[in-house]
Amino acid sequence: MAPSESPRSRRFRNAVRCRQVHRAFGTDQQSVVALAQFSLDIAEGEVAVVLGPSGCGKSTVIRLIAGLDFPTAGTVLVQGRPVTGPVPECGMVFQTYTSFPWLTVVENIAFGLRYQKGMGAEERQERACSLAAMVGLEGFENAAIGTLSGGMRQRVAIASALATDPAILLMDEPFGALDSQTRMLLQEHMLTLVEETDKTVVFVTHDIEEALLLADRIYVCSARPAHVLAEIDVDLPHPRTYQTRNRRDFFQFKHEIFHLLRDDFYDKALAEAYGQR
Amino acid sequence: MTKHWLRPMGSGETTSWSGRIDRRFGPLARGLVPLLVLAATWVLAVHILGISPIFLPPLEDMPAVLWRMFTEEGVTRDLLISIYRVLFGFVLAVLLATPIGVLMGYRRNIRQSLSPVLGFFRYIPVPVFIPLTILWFGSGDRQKMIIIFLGAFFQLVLMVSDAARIVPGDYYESAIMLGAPKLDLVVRVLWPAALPQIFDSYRIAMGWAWTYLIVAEMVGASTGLGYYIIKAQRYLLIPQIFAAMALIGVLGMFTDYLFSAAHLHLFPWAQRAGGSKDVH
Repeated sequence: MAPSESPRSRRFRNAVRCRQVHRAFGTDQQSVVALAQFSLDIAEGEVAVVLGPSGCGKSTVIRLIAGLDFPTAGTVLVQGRPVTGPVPECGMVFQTYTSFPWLTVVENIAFGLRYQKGMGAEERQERACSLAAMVGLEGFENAAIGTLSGGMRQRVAIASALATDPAILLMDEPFGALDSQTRMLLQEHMLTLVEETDKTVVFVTHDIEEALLLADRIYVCSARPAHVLAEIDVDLPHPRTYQTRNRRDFFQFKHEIFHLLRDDFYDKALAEAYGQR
Repeated sequence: MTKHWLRPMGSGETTSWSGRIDRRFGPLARGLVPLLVLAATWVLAVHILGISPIFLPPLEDMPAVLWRMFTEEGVTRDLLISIYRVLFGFVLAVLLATPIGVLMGYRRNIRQSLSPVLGFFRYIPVPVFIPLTILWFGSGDRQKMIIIFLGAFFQLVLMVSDAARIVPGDYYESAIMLGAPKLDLVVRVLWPAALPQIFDSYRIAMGWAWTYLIVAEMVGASTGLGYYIIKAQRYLLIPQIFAAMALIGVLGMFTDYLFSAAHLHLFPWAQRAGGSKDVH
């Protein structure tokens, strides 16, 4: 692929760095290696998508960046500092529904604002309401979480994560649990959010189209243990819309990524079948 | 004819007996049916099988017996004393078991260090404590409350800790990423998340509190409903035994209703949606 000339990819790539990261779970005798020799560099303001097959360890990547988990070997740096605990510069949207069902929509969105210095109760309420509107939840401000659909719950989660204005937004397959129509709508919504903001976004998914639609750069991961198979600069023009999916170069990207993943899958499968005799 | 399960929801008449009762008297009335069946069986057993009133006094006599108990035998005082003891013992158990249970649910090391001692006491039958507590605290209210406390506390700690333990880890991580400090993970996440189930365990513990109250009042007591029953037994006042039992039952029913109504009111978000679906 030709090197991209999109302005975002030329920025200094130090928002998130993973250097030779290794992460194994379990005991020494029975360990599962999730990440091996995993390295990536994400530029500030970039939308970086970590794309890989299910169960390959890509969620582990995002948890390491967030500081919810730690590498067995190697280093993770966020904004130049090694990660030693939950990173306050990071906001996170989880794959599962993590909004608190005992709070209303607005109370959920305002949850993190309590920990921002110098913000009064009224200001928090105001900001939460405007965020609710931004993610398209006007009229549902005081609704209980249990009454919302899956798509609406993820909107609440996105608004909650954005409320504290984090420099880096981590999204761990946020639309994975949604039906395909809702997913498409939320992807489109996400596009408008991403086009407007200059936040660094790290987005994990197994969906190639979703990755292409949103990404400035895609890190294609191998099957477990995950390492970066390829780093792809997605130079599809901005602003992107749902129609970007119909572009010829979109198909070419898709084709290329699919083959990368497919080759890796068969390599690993063959290695498993014949390599360990 | 369309199959009944193919009918659109809410159309057509419900033909089940419970549906008919629902429409005419409201869903609460449904609970009366088994009670009425029970009462009818009682009446039939007495009059058709000719069971002696020594074993089973006639149901018709009960209102008069109850009336006499309240007007002549002063059961009101026993009743109030029993309620006072139960409430006190129960509240004490709740106040101590809740924080300990929450901490046990939150921290594995606390759970590991407290589980053995709690398990040890939980398996000692509470009535075994009666002689010792009488020795230590006399036979007054205090001793009764301590028996109730012992009966409720050890079970309650376990249930509260279970309720706290099953709070999904995702909630904590979500709160951590939003900047919540450690204390808030307990106060603003664990507590509201586990409270509906903790409240449920209060409801169950209340039942035990009543059980152990009666047990405590049957030994070394001079007041209370349990004492009243023992006294009635001594004088072979069989109808009074039945009436006192019914009194306890009604109180329990009422308490239970209060708890579930409060649960519905306090935690609308935590109501189980259906559980097993009603398939008609």
